[in-house]
Amino acid sequence: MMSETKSALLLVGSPKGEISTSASLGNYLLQLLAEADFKTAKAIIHRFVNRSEKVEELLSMVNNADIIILSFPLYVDSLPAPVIKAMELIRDNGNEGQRKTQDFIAISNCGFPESSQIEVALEICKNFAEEVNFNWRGGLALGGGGAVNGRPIDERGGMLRNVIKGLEITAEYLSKGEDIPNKAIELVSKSIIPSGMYKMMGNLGWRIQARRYGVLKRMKDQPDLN
Amino acid sequence: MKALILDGFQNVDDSIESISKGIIETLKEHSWEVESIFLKERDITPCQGCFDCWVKNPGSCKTDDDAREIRKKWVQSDLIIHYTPITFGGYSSQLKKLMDRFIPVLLPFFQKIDGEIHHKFRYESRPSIIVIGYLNKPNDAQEKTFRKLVKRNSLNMGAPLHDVIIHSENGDKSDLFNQFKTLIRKLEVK
Repeated sequence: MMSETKSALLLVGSPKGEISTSASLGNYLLQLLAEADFKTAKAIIHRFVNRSEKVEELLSMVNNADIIILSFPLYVDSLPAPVIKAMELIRDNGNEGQRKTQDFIAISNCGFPESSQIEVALEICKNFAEEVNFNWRGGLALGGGGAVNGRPIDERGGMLRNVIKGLEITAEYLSKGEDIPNKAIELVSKSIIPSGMYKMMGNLGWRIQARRYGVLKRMKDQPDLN
Repeated sequence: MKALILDGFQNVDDSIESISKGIIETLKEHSWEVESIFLKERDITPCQGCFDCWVKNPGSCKTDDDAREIRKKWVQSDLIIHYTPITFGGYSSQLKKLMDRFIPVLLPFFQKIDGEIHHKFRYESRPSIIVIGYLNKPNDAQEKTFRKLVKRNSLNMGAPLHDVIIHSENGDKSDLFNQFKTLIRKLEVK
C-alpha cells in the first residue's frame, strides 16, 4: 500500500470463471489499468470462499489492492451467493483503517435486456462499500449480457462500442482517483439489442439448446408438483 | 395452507430464535401447516450457472443436495417466509445460496411484465412471499434497498402477494408479530 505503483484487483463473481461475461468485462478494464501502470491481480471468487485455506489468500489480495473491481452476473435480482459470502468475510475481517484508502467499483451484467434491472444489486454493492469503509467509486450495469457471452469484448465488434468506450472512460477516471463519471455509466447501460429482438432471439436460443439435448418437448415439465 | 420458513441466519441468539418461534406459533394459531428449515444445517451447494435446469433436465437441478427437496417444498407451499439478517441491503449468503438454486421454478422463455422482460413461470400456482429482515441497528439506506429487492424478487418469482417486515435488534417484537398477523389474515382472505 505504500509503494508508488498502484494496484488493481479484479474479483470475478461468476461461477463460470474465465469464460464468463463478468470476466470479459473485468478483464478489459483491468487491461486498461495495466496500460496505465497499475499492478494487476485477479481472483475468481467461487474458488476461494468455500475453502478455509483459500479465504486468507483472498482477504490478503483484497487488503493489498488500491482499487477493487467486482464484476458479477445478476442472480435473482442480486449478487451470486458466493460473492455475498466474500463480502461478509471482508466485513468480518476488520481492517477498516486501511480501507479508507481503498477504492471499490462494481460491474454487473444480466440476461435481461434492461440494465435498469441491475440497480438494486449495485445499491447492495454501494451499501457494502459504505459499511466496510471502502471508497465507493460507482457501478456499471450492462443489460443483454448474452450478447457478450463470455468472449473478449474487443472481439465482439461494433455492437459493444459503447461498452468499450464506457470502460475506457472508467479506467481514465479511476487512474486519477476519481469517481466513475455519469457519461461512462450511461454508455455501458445503453441497450445493446432492442428488447423485442432480444426476447425473440433468446427464446429461439433456448429452444435450440434444448433440442440439442433432446428435451425440446419437455422444456415446460413440472417435476416438483409430485 | 402450507407455510415454509427459510431461516438464513449464521448464528442464532435468543432474540433471533424468539422471533422464529413466535412466527411458527402465530401460523399454527391460524391453522397453518408449518415447516421451518435452518439453512446453515443443510447441504446446499452454490448455483453453477450452467442452465442445465432449463435445457438439459427441465425443472431439475443436476446437483443432488438438499436444495432439491427444499425447492419441491417451495413449489408446494402457499406461503414462503424468508427470515434473514439484512446484509448490505440484501439477504444473507446462507439464504441467497438457496434462492440462487430456485431458477428451475422459472422457464427460460421471456415475457414482458410492466414493460420489462422477465422469465415465464414454470408453475401456475406460486407461493406468496413474506420477508422478515433483521437489522442490528437502524440503517435507512439498507432498509430501502431491501424493500426494493423483495419487490423485484416477488415480481420475478410471480408471487401473488408479498410484503416485508423489518425488525431492529432493539425494536418492539410485539409490533413485528402484529404486522405478521395482519399479513396472515390478508392471505387467508385471499
